[in-house]
Amino acid sequence: MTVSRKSTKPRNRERPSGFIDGARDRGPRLPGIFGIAIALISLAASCSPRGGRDAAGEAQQLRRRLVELARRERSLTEEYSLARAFAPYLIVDPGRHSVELKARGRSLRSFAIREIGESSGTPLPDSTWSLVEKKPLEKTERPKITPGAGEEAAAAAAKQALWGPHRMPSDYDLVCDEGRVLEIRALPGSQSGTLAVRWLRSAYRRMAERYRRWRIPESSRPRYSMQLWMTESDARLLFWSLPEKIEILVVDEPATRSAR
Amino acid sequence: MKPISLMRRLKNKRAGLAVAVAGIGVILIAVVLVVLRPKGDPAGPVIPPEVARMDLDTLRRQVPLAEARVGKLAEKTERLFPSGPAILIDTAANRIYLLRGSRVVLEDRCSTGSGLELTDTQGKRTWTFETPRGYYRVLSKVSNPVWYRPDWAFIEEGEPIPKDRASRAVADVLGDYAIAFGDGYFIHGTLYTRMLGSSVTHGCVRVDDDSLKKIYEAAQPGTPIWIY
Repeated sequence: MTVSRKSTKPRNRERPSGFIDGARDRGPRLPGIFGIAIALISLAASCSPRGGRDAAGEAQQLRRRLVELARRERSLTEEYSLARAFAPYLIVDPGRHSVELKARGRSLRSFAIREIGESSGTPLPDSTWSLVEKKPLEKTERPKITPGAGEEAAAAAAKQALWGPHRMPSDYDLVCDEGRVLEIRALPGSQSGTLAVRWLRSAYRRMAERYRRWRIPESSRPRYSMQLWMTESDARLLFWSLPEKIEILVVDEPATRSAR
Repeated sequence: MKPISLMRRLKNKRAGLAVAVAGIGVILIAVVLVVLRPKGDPAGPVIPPEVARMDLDTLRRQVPLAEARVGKLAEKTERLFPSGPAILIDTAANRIYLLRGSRVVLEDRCSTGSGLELTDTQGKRTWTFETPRGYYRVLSKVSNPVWYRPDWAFIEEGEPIPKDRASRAVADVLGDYAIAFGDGYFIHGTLYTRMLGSSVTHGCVRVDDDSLKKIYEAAQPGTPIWIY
């Protein structure tokens, strides 16, 4: 008996009529052509002076770099004088979109500024502000212990209603000396709801903030205020981390601001 | 009027109304988007005239010099951090760090202030059980510490406040060691080890026995403590 076995080799089938000869061979050639093209383009790019930039462009870049370095040098000089004391200090750098809590030059915690909101008054270049008061827009209620409840009951209560950054306000003013205010405002974090919900919540918060600012009478407005928008968690953590009194170095960019 | 033409007019009216409503909607959305648009990044820095006048060769010389100055300044600032032992207490994460220079020698869980508020029965005095933030330094350190219970400890338990100091003394509750850092606050041991990592204390910083021993051995009066 003969057993027919299926061949695993591909059979040479006849090409259907109209099949363009060589079309099958063109496939492997294409990447080669693309490769050569990319190589030529990259060669041209590397041969052109600094990727197409001319001397004027380079000079302009170096000027910008020099201005940025001068700004960094100014802020570092200011920071050095703050860091010589042992007390922690805060560095608010709108240019780098960051707020950093530091001590003796070492970063303890850093926070990202998501947006820089409206500012009022005349900005001062690289100035140190002294925090006078942390003023939440809405007060936070502390959990209370009943006298006589006992230490274990208090510990259990503390465990139940855990105290932590999540209980801190997200919208507050850091009232500083000489009528200067850092307004910290929160936007919903990336994990709070869908994109649409976040957008709506952000829009509502911005509208509410505009309305609140509009309602403040001219006479009670601060001499200078800067509004920083952070995520909810960052805003709460910043409030939590700050001591009652702290020096805040606001790295300002008067030149950049005027260009805005 | 023919009924067909009336229908057509009504349809036209409806269509017009729909277009008007849609138009108003689009305008409103545009206004909201313009008003609530996030502020973009500012434009690049404005070049001061003295920098604008510099030619390419001068700029090529000046930029590395400025970079070196900035680097030196950054290094000088970083070197301010003590090279000896230092203690960092992260109250948000309830973690304690023992550092030696920039090196973390020890990292462990701790417990910090519960944030609870206690008011005495007369409503005259209020205590807030919070670990203070800021800079402190080790004032003193003791082994086998005895806790002299403050007034709030009696009020919390509903006990009468004793007049003499001896009646306030309690041994074996602060662990093997206590490190004082001012205003009655200590870094000490605990009986409630399962609560380490939570904010449950009256303001002191509770640490596990092993870590406490290491911190106690490394810390000297004057050792800086940063609480944040």
